[in-house]
Amino acid sequence: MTPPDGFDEFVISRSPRLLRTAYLLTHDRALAEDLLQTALARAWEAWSRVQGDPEPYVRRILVNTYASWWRRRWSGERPTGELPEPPAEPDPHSRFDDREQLWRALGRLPRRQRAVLVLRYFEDLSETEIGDTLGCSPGTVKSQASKALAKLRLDETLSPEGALA
Amino acid sequence: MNETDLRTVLAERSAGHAPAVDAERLAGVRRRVARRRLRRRGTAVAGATLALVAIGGVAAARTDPAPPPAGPPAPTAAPDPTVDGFPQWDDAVRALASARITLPARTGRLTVTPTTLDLVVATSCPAPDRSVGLEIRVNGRPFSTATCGAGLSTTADGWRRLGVRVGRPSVLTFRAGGADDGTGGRLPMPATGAFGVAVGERVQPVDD
Repeated sequence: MTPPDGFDEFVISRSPRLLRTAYLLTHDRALAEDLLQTALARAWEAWSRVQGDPEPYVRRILVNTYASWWRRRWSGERPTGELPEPPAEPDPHSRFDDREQLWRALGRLPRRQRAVLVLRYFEDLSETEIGDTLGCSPGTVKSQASKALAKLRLDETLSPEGALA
Repeated sequence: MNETDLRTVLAERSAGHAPAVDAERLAGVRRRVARRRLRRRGTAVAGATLALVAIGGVAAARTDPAPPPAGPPAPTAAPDPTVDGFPQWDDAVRALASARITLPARTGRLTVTPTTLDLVVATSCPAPDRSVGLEIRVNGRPFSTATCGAGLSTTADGWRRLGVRVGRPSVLTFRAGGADDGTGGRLPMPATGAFGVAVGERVQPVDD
């Protein structure tokens, strides 16, 4: 099975960045690799129709695949069937703990809200670019980001100093 | 902590992946493409959704009579076949058994006879925003209390501890309730809707 022209080179050069995004979405390294390979496989079949830089296209597949996994996530299993550990008591004097709690709080956000924050604060995309990626308007992106930040701000596991300003 | 800290957390957390093994990733992508093509060919030729369950040699017990699956899909541009809202195939997992409940019923049950202990439990619900929780038991033993929509699994040893054995029927029961709201309370249940739980097993990938 021969890959389309430029596909392998794209995978080799762009996967590290896309994998980081996938990890921020899934919070699980195995799932991140699963998500990335799923997105790349879907991109493979549309490769000839992609014009210009394929990365935004692949990122869009990746994010939307992640967002839809809630309803068809056979391959998105967690490594165990156990309940996630409850968050530890926050230590307001520890920056490490603040970041740990923020990471866990991010994991409790609804998927699309988490995706908006990842695209905004990790990928540094504009609201318009995020809207293009998620298939929604910039206004919706702004609303989702606002709700996500508000949830983090109100998350009780984050110390007052840790709350997002 | 402010938005700068948010950026820092995202940058820190996403770093530190082991160096990617490009050959393995490329091979994985090829396997997925091959499976997708094989699945599409199978869909076009075979069609009947439940036939795959029959081929798998398993039976699903339903809590309520579900409508029969649709007839053979169109040969082209057909959606993936589903049972109780679950894909019959997704990547390397094949659905074995599923059950669906419709409110006001809150409990369901299914029986599965696995051919491997490489199993996955999938859940589906009408509300995407984590408002429903599902308590799942396997052979009467607690398996998970998960937010609806989650995919769940455990190791082969974990399945054995739950009494699951290859070739023998196991019973999975589930009960729906409002999900934890994060403050010790429960989110209200939707007024209407249906919930589903399915069990699938991984199959060896087929490569071209």
